[in-house]
Amino acid sequence: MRTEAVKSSASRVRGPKPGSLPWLLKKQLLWQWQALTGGQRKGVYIALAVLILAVLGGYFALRSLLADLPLNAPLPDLALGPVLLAQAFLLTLMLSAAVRASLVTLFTRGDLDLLLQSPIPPRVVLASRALGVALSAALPAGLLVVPLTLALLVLGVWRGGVGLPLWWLSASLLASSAGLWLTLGLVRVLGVRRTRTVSAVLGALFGAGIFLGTQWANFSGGRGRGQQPSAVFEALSSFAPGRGNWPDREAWLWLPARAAWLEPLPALLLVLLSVSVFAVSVLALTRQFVNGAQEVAAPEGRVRHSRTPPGKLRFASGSRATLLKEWRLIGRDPELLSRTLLQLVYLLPLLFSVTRGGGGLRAAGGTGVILLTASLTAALAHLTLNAEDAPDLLISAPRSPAALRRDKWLAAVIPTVLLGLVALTVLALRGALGTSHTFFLLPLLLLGTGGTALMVLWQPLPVRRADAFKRSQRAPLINTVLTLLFQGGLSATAFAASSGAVWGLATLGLAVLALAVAYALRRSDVR
Amino acid sequence: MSAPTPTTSEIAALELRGLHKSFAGRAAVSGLSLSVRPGELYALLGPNGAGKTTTIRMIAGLTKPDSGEAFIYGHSVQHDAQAAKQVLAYLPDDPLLYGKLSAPEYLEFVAGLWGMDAAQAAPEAERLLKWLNLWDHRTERVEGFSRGMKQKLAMAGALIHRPRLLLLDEPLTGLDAAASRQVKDALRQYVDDGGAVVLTTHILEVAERMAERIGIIGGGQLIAEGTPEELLERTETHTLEDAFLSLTGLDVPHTEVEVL
Repeated sequence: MRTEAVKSSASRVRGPKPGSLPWLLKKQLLWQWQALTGGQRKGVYIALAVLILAVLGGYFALRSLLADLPLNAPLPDLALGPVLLAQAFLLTLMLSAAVRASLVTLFTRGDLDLLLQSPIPPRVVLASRALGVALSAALPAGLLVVPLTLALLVLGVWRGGVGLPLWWLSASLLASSAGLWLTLGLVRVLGVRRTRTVSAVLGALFGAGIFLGTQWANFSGGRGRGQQPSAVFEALSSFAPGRGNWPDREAWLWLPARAAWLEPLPALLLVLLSVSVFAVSVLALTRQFVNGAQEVAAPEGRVRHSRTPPGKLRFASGSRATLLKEWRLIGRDPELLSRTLLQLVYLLPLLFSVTRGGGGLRAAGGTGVILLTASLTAALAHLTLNAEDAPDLLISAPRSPAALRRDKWLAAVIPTVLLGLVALTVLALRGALGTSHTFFLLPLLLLGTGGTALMVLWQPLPVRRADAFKRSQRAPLINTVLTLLFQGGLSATAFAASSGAVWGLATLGLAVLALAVAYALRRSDVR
Repeated sequence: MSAPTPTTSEIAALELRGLHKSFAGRAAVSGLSLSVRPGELYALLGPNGAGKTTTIRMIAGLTKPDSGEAFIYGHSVQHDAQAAKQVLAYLPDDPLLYGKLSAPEYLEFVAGLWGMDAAQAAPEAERLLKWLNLWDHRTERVEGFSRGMKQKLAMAGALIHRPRLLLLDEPLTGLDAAASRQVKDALRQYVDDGGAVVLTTHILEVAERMAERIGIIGGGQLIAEGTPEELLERTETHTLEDAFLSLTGLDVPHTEVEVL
């Protein structure tokens, strides 16, 4: 009786079939929407209405002016190269985001256990999560694609206005497929835990891929001074169909650029390719996904690290014990590892340039060291001071909070000061910094690292360590502004010091003022 | 089990005087006063939301009372926190651990927090890890431990600095039978050696078998206090479960199981 009643009521419910992919997506989107507050929903409606009105208004206002221009003609050959390069840049952003998002989206516990033990096929669960990865991949590129699309629509360039978002969606599907293959492949070889570290590093490297590409000449040493801009422009201008050794317009190489301009065949091929690759990826990776989910659910232990000697234990006391604890946690944080690596990726070309370049570049060397060590200190201090996983343990201990804060501050500052000292020594030994300049930079290094860590200390933002670098856990705007002013001011002072410019004192004053304001606005740890 | 240093027995290990705490206008603890002697295991029982955890957190200095005061061996938690905390260990139901550290690294940090000398802390940590069957896992990170192993490590962390008062919030949660027995034996020995224990538990048999005295709180107030025998006598019941239900006024709903 009861079963029949349930069946009859279910048959009356309209919408996607329960357990299907559309049903699951609808539920998840609905929950996301319900998670917004009334004000936020209102904001979304207003933003959409304003956007639509602005686009329509702009379109009709400009229609008469632009009517005679051939705005929807096929994209000229000369434009295909730059468009393709821009697409490659956006694709690396998407790939970076997809690799970073894959592991989290696929294996975050949340409702994963519920979904996998329900009768819903695992491929449906994976498909819904993979679409989540695609969304994560699309977002960073959207910051460029969406405004450009809106501008194209306002101008009445409907081929670009429709083709560009179509390419964007296709590219996000391809990027998410690549992210899934890479992540699940790594999970198969390395296991989930190690993949966390490796995928964080890979995500960072993909993100920096374009930058590294542009800096290749610095590494290879192939450029002479003064030749760089012209060589780059020459290479760019020859990157077009039929020029140099590049194939003609009909070749597959130019297909993404033509698809973004809504040329029918390339656009159709791109959409079919991306959807097929995505569907095949989901089908092929379902088993691996289920295995990975089971591994996540199982205890993660048996992780051995060789630093603990097998014999008797040797402990440190007091402050040293706190420093060791903080440094161990820092050293075992994959997100921090990827961030540090990323900073080094950006630092290395700078150092190469500095040791080869002239006065301006030499000045940039010291400036870069001051800026990057301060920036790294901010990340470390956020971990040591804010991301404390057992705050109750510290509060219930007799050790004074002031002593603990000092130890945690030191744990963030000591490594970066040492790193800065090494960098300055290398620069000085290679002749990139003069002796007096180096000695002037030393107090700036100490002030930059120590002051940055103090700013984190004065504006506590308690977070779980696992959430330390999530976007939702960002510091208030005023903290960010003060930190930027402080670090920017000190970096400018370091730059001015290379030529003995007096304006460096003004930027130093600005940095100290920012530090003083941060002190005046200091809060206690309300935890 | 390491014996706490004996002290003058006149001083209460724990004394609460009229503790009050409200959250958003609702009283969680309302005028709670009790005393625990050295060498006594005191079980704090009460239904969900009775104020047990709030009370424990106020004793540990984690929550500030609105009024009233807590004394640990004569030291006020509010006014002489460092001295009070020096002899206290707090073990919550969700262990205070660091997933990325190994067990010895965790104990090294905890010993450092309590100002222990490294030369004393290392052998004590080794002894505790061996005693709790964690020695073979000493090179593994805590994030891979089972719930029971984590609970045992937290117990080692609580004991390493040889506290004289142990605050335990649901200490047997997640432990298997052997580990549970091990912890119970350890607590008994600790109490026999002169230490004081205040524990909260929902497992009434544990309280009945282990506690010298039981305090039952409801609505943030101490409803009844005494030895298990005194509570049975007062309620004219035969089991602590019946006595607890009678004192707290909890009614067990009749369960109907529908067979499909």
